[in-house]
Amino acid sequence: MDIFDSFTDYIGKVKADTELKENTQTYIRNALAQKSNSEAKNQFNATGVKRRLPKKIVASAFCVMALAMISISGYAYYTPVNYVSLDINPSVELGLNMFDTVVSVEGINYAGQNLIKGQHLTYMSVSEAIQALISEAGDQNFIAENGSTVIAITLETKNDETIASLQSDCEKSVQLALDAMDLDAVIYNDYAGLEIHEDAQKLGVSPGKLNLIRFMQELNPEITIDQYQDAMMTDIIVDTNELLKDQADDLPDLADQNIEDQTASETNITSDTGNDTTKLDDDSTASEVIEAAAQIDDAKNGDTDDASTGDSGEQDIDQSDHDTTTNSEDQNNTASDTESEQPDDTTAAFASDNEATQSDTTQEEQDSGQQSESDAQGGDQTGTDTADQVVSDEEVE
Amino acid sequence: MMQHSDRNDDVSIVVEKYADMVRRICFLYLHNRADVEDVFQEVFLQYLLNADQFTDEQHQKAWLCRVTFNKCKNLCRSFWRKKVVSIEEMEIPYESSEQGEVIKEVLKLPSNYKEVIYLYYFEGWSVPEIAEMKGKNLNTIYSRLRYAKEHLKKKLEET
Repeated sequence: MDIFDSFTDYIGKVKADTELKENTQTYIRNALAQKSNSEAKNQFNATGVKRRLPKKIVASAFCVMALAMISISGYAYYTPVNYVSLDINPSVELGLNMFDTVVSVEGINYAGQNLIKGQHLTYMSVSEAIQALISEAGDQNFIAENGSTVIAITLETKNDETIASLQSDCEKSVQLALDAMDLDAVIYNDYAGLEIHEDAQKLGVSPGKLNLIRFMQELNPEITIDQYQDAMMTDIIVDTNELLKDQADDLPDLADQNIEDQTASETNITSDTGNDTTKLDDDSTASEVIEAAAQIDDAKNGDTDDASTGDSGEQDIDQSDHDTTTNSEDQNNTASDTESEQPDDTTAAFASDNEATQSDTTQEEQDSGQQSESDAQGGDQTGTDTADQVVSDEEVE
Repeated sequence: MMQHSDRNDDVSIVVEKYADMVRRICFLYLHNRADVEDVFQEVFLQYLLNADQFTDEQHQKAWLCRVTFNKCKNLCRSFWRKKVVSIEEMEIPYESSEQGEVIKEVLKLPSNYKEVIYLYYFEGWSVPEIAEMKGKNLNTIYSRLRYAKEHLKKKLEET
């Protein structure tokens, strides 16, 4: 028997059973019941005989869904939902996604563009980015050593719930960066709606500045944006504070709330915390401005104050004099060397023991407020040795 | 365009007439009831959509053969089916162990060889007819038949 005979014998017995035929016919009849052929192609019949979807269609649908999910999540990651405007005078705006990761960086003015040049801030957390920017600003000498520079952080968001936490994060980051550089500055916090982002872009000014300039315009409508477009935040804050003072003078009723100096700012801070629900943005901005202006004044007057309170420095010096009556020869030599670099008039000022005509240089030398104890001792020794030096100078003459 | 009732009758006739043939071709490739049902539904639905174009019975049969072979091969190529679908046991018992060996070896042949063997030995088509249906050269069909025969003999001798 040929091998193919047994094959044909066997395969001849293979037949379609009745159930298979009936199911197929039912399926076809149901498909026929459909109006169009295209609908019939993918039809499920009503008798429970289901025509399975082709795997290719299922796989394609799955791929489309996966692509859609990837696209949506990608869009969500790369689209800024909040902005942080950092203004010193270099103005930089950071776009943050929903995870507070920096997804866009824009230098608003020339200094801002220079500040971000060479820095890879994208995909950093907002804290890291702000620290990097402040460090760079410090390196480029945009932050004054006397601590009077205003660093303004303005949040642009439509989600009020994120303001507090984000503002706190930003402020901490600025403070960390300042601490790392051993600098001090006035940190000014503010916030605005997202709409200010577009307005600021149209006007070519940073959102932080625009927000404050608009506040100034409410106080004095004659103020123009151009006037303050390139101004430092410090100057804007000072001018705003002046406007607030003028307004307080014009409105005696408000004088109690908006008076100059620290007392006024403290009053405003208290009122802010006490009236959270009814607090208006303007009130918040005003109190922030007054507080910042007071800090600027403090910082600027710090030198003068230190100079005028030179007595305490001298007292410290005198005190340490007593403590270190057994100065070593080396210390004297060092002090003399240091003193020898001082101008003659400075030496004279030291010798005249806290005369009112002390020069600024001498005041700074003796300022104990920002010096360490060892520095104070060094200054002290300088002070005591100065007298010897004067005597020796006179002898030379 | 053909009326729905005419088509219903036509499909019933065609299903009754060619169901066994379609089932046999399915047997060469598929060993799963659900797959066989899928192929049946797709083949006869496609017939319904193309019923107007057949010139004669031979044309109709050739068309159904070709479409069934293609559907079965497509289903076998499916990654999902290769990995997931279980193979059911043979429904029909063998007459002898020799027949069982022959059937098993035939089913192991590549699809192109199985197709030619079925058409030539069971359906009784001539080589030129098969070549025309497949759109292949005559020699190609002869070669496939020769190779299939030699391969089967060799395998059966081994066993």
